[in-house]
Amino acid sequence: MIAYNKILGCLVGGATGDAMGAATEIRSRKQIHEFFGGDVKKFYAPPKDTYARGSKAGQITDDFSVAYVTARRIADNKGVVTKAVAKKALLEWSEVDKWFSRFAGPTTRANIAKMKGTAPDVNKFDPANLFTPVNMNAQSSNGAGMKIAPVALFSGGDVDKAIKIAITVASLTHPNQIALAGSCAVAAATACAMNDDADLFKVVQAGLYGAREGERLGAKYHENAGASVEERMKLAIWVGLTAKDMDEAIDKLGSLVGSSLAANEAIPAVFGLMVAAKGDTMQGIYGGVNIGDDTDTIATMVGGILGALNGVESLPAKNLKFLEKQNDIELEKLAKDIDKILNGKA
Amino acid sequence: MTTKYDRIKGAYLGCAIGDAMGAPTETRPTDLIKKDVGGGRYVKKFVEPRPDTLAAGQPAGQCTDDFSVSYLSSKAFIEAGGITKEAAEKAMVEWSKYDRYYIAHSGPTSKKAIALIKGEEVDTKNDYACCNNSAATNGAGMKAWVAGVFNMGNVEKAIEDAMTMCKVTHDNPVALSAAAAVAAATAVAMTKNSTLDDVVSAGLYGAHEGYERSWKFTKPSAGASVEDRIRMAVTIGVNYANDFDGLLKEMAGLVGTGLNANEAIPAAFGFFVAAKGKVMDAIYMGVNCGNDTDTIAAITGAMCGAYSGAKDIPSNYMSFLSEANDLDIKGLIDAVDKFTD
Repeated sequence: MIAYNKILGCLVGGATGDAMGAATEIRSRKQIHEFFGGDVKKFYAPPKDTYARGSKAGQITDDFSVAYVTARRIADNKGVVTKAVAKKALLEWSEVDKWFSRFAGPTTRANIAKMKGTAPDVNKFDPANLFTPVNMNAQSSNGAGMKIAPVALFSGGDVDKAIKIAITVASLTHPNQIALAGSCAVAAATACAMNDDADLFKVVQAGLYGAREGERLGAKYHENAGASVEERMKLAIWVGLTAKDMDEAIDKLGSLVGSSLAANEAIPAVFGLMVAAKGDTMQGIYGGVNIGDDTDTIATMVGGILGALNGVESLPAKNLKFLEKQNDIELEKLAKDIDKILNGKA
Repeated sequence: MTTKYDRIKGAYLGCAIGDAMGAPTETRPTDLIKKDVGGGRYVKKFVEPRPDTLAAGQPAGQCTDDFSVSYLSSKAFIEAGGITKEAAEKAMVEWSKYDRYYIAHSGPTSKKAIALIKGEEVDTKNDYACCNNSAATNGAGMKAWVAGVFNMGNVEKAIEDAMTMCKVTHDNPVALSAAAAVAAATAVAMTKNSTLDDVVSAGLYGAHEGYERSWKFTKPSAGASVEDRIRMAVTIGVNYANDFDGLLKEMAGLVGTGLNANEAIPAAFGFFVAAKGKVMDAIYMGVNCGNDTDTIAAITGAMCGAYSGAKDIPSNYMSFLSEANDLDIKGLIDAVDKFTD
């Protein structure tokens, strides 16, 4: 039995982190403070000089939207996760201008173009096309992790099943071991968090296990060079545990672990922030929103995992309706459908 | 005693060796370097790059961007009577005429900057954004050691000159923090009686100052701190100085050895310390650490060469590299020696 409030918590937590972080993305923490007058703890319309310019307060970006469409289509498929369903959802999402055209990251974009057969013309002169490099190190980005927490709900709390799901879904856009290590870490942590007896310690341990498994399984797709997600997670957890307060943890995680679009920065930062926030959903999300750089993606993942751990009650009550309205999405309906699938009410 | 000439020679050769030896291992992780390039062993000599690397088609010993940019920049600075923005720009434009370097090896940040200098059209679709986080790359650090050689013993001038020469291509505080770190460390490494501690301290000071000062004139950027990561890399360098496997695993796994300035430059410092400043030892670490191997080997090679001179470098490397690259390396070393008298 998986508690409904955990399912809904994962969805609302992820959407909250994405929408709140859309306003702070790409800025350094110092710039966030200068622009907003301190840490951002509510929904703002994004400034004109950031990716989400033109969005309204509370609108999500690529992070949660791709997760939402994927989870929606898996639910429609009675909760069965297949490559075909995930691919169809991905292509459906890529047709939604407000989410894909404006926000899709470099790796996701490149691999969707490949699926659609619209990859850049290799005959056009471009030195990068002169050969096929052995390593696509630039593809070890965080887009595999950003979308996986809601999708991992279909594991029903089974960590190994969540890892399998993450590989199936995320390998479509990020077929390399570093991105998949990040994805499996988030998926495993989410699955663990869904269980009634879950606590922060278990969630973090599940995340480390997921990173190890993801790196092992991901190497079958592509072995690339780059820092280890697992090693950097350990560093981040240590920073989160030893910082004297949340403020120091955010600064130290940003400067030492990093918070960029690289999977081996963003995903470790997620775990460091969760530990520093002592597992509190909103404190963790605020940490992500204000760490600087790829804030929305980090806050999305923190919100997804901690929302599942603490349930939807750990988020402001108004967020659900507000986010549904601003984004024209149905989080409650999706949560109910997942609940039916997981708890045999279908 | 190590002479000034010997240190200059060590720095230029260290950079050239690291670059040329690392070109065939670039982009691969350590295990694939051993398996595919080294025939089961670590790579410790010049080999021909395989067809699936950036340096594909080059003969063994040919450099990439790291040394060639440093070489042409040095020549331009001597000609201009010092390190100036104009000379740095001229060097980059001159460099872009070398097909063998520019076509395969121009990094993303330098490439756009060169196009701007030449007045060519560039992609401006992200110019509205308040930060340019993707420009926090190591192309500034890779050439900034030259500012240290030109300003031996003068850390402040080395930092200023590094920012002058590197902001031409890297309008980014994280990239310039890394450049200032390398320049400051090299400036101290060039002086007699300097210790490993002195060099690292200068590097940390340079990283800090470079970041703070460049923040005032560059396009802003988020990104992990070069200074904090140098501290971490140096700790790993000390802890694993006698464990080559463990050193590479920890440096690549934790600090990172990628194209980002906040990975490659800290790693170069870590190897400088682990090798205790010995040129060839540090270069072997860089060449085999995975990812952006040639740049890391070139930077750590230059810093070590400045610190310990050229005495440990095999004597045939100078003529071999000069020939493989059709560059007058000795002529440049002589000219730099004369210029810095």
